[in-house]
Amino acid sequence: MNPQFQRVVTLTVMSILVGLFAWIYLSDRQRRARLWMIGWACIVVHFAGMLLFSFGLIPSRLADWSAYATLILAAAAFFLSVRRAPCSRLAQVVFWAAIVAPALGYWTGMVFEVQNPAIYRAIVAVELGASLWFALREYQQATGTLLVWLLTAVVPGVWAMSRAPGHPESGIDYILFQAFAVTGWRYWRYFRRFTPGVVLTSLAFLAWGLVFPIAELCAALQVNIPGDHVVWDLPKYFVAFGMIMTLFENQTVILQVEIAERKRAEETAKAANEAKSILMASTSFVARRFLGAEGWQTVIPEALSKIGVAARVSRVYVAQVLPAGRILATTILHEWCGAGQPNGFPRSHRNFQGPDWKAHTESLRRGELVSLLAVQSHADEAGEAGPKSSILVPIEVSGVWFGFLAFEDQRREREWTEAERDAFRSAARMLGASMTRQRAQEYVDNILRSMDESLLVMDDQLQIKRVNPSALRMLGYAEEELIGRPARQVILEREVPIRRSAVERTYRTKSGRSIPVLFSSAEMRNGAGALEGYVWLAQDMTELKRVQRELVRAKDAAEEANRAKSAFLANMSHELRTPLNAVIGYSEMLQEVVEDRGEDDLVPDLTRIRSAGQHLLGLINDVLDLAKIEAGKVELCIEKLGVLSVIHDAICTIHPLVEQNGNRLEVECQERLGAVLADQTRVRQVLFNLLSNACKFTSNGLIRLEAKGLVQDGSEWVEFRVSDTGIGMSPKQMDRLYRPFMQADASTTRKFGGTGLGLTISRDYCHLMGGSLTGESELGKGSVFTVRLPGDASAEQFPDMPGNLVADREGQIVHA
Amino acid sequence: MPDILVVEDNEWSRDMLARRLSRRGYRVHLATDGKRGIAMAQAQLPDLIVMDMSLPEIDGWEATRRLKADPATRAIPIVALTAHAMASDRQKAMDAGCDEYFTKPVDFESLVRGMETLLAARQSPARARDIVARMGRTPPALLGEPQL
Repeated sequence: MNPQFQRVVTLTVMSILVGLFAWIYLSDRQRRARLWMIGWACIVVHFAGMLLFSFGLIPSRLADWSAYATLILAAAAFFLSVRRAPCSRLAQVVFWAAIVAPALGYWTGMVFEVQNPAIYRAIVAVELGASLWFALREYQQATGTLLVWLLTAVVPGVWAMSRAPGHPESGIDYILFQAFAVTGWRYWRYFRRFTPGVVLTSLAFLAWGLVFPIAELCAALQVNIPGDHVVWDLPKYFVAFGMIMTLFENQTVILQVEIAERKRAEETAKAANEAKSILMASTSFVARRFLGAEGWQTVIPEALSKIGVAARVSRVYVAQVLPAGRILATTILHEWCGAGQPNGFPRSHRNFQGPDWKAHTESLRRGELVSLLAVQSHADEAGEAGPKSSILVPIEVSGVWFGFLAFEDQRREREWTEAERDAFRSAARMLGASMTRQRAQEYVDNILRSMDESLLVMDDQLQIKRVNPSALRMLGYAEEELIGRPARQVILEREVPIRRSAVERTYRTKSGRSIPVLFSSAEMRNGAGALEGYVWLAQDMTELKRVQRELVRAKDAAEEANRAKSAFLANMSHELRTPLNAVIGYSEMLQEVVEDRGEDDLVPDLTRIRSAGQHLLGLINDVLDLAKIEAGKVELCIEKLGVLSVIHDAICTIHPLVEQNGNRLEVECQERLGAVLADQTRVRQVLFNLLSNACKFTSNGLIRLEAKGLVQDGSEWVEFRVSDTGIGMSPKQMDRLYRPFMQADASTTRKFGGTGLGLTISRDYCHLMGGSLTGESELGKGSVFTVRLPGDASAEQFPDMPGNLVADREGQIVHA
Repeated sequence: MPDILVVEDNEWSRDMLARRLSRRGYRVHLATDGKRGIAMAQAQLPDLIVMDMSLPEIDGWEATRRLKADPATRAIPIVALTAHAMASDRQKAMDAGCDEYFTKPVDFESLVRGMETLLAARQSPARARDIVARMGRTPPALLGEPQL
């Protein structure tokens, strides 16, 4: 066969192959096809060089050089096409530099007949080392590659070198063809499938790389290979066809993979959609429940489990944030654990700390979701195996950050989808709204509960809508027995009060008992002013009524007792006076009779009987007076009394007593005193009492009666002053002075007589007349009593007597 | 001498008063209860009646009312003499028609002065004034010995 023709045919075939690879690469974008196309383009250049040389168009050296250089490039392209991991750009540069440059250097040396063996050895060493380094670096588990390398390149190469000593370049061919053999090995490792294309290509690459060793082996074994050197070109063609088949096989595989991938994607999308719709359904269910009438605590277990199952998480919990310093401290309020989540939290508190948590806490406070992976959530102190991923959704109650709703997945790390985030967020929002509402409701409930008053809330039809515990206690009903019943059921009055404030009404209890209540009713209107109902407030007045009744009874009893006392006093007075009348009357009469008969020796005895009777009478009168004063029954007749006439009266009546103990009476009276505003009888009684006391406790002394007018606090007063030089009193005795029945000294009674009521009565009379009675005394020196009564200096209708008067022993008033 | 009818149920009081009045020269007639008192007053038409208030049969107030209602006895002054010594009792006696009021135990001199005044007034108002002028102001009734 003409070698030129042979080369033209080969060239044509190879060109078709390149075109084919280019077409596959452009139409299917198989990256490997591009590298193969480059490889085969190199082969085309290889054959083109040979063809040009056979026509004598290029020199043999250039032909040899291009033949080997293009082979090296093709081998490199094929090798790169089956590398597993994508190489970095640097690695590729190193690859080309380390493999291509030494090889090109070697061939350049050979073609230009450089004879220095050291150069070749250095090049071989670099070539081997770089290839080995690249192979090991590129494929970490490179045992197979290393083995193939040793078997196909190094061992034969070293063997060939040893067979031709002195020709170090011998055998390097072996090593240079190693790329094809290794590529064959890698090719199979890469595709790892026993398809015709892959198997054919792998074996053909191996054969191509082992052309020289096999030829040597055949020569050594003296096996004649038929078909000349065309035989050695055969592996190339098998490689080419194998690659084409591989590409077609790839195409099928790619299609299958694509279909599978598309199917998987569809399924994933479908599943995601399903999950999303389940999530949405459960979210809306949870929302409905939270917005329903029940309290959130009732709803929450179901809500958590619903949303937990829908989101396919392992655990959902509600955490309330506790006020704490640097860490995020929480109380777990509710928790739901899904399948595969054996236990709940060991305790109800859970603290989160660590550098990240400050930022997380801030995010939650701002209302942002916080998504965590396993590593981060290990920071909690519980020390348990943390979830692989979790997300915290803040809850707001009454506009304040309350805590968070946490979703945890124990099984996988996951990216939370937008649908999930939305669902979680709306669940947290609903929970917050429910809590807010409940808190407001609880606030009102607490107010109602804490009230002592009974409270009934009615609608506009007067049907009971709401009651507080006090009302139930008072009325004896259970709540459900009252709700919806007409208000008439609990109130006794026929007319149901609409708008009343603090009136008395009567409630009727379940047992039919009547309770008097202090009652108020008010209209309840909504924001728009429409009547919504009524609020009744009632306070139990049973106790109040009872106390009131008792008070009335006590008052009646007191009045009755007072009446009885008055009656007793009147009666006693009456009963005592009748016999006393006889005593005094008979003794006076007897005294007259005895005097008439001249039997004067009996007179003193009769006088004693009479004065004892008078004393007894005085006692009775005093007791009666005191009783009247104490009962507030004294009726005064206040009139204008001339001061002088009052003094005159006093002197007249006291006169006999003054003389008894050998005393002297001095009267001093200021000019133009006018009148005193007082009750005549009482003034007379007071002055007489004071003067007679003075007489009684003074012997052979001086008794003075002074009268003067004065103005104090804008009022006019008349002051009567009775002083004596008698026995006087000690401060202690003065203390007891005005106590009824108390004389200065118990012995006084025996010595001086008297009831001890006089001063008390006098002082009380002075007070009743708007004045006062005060006393001063010193033991052994005498006493001074001062009576002060309202005066009227302008009253001039009484005869004016000159200034200072002295009463002599006859009681005459004379000028001092 | 004036005829005085004393209506008094208490024996000692009656006796004492009768004897003392007699000693002053009055002609004293005695009745022991209200009923007899009325009868005697109507029968004898005395110049003055001293009437106790707490009487059996008909009490003093009622007796006074009846006598003051009877034209025949209307003009006879009636002096109430009673152990009912409360302030309201005085008013009660005066309301019944008594002309003067004294409490027991009686200050005899005051009683006599009161009686004389009434008797004189009955004879002639001018003479009554004379008597008042002659006897002077009625001194204050001092009840009992002064007390400390």
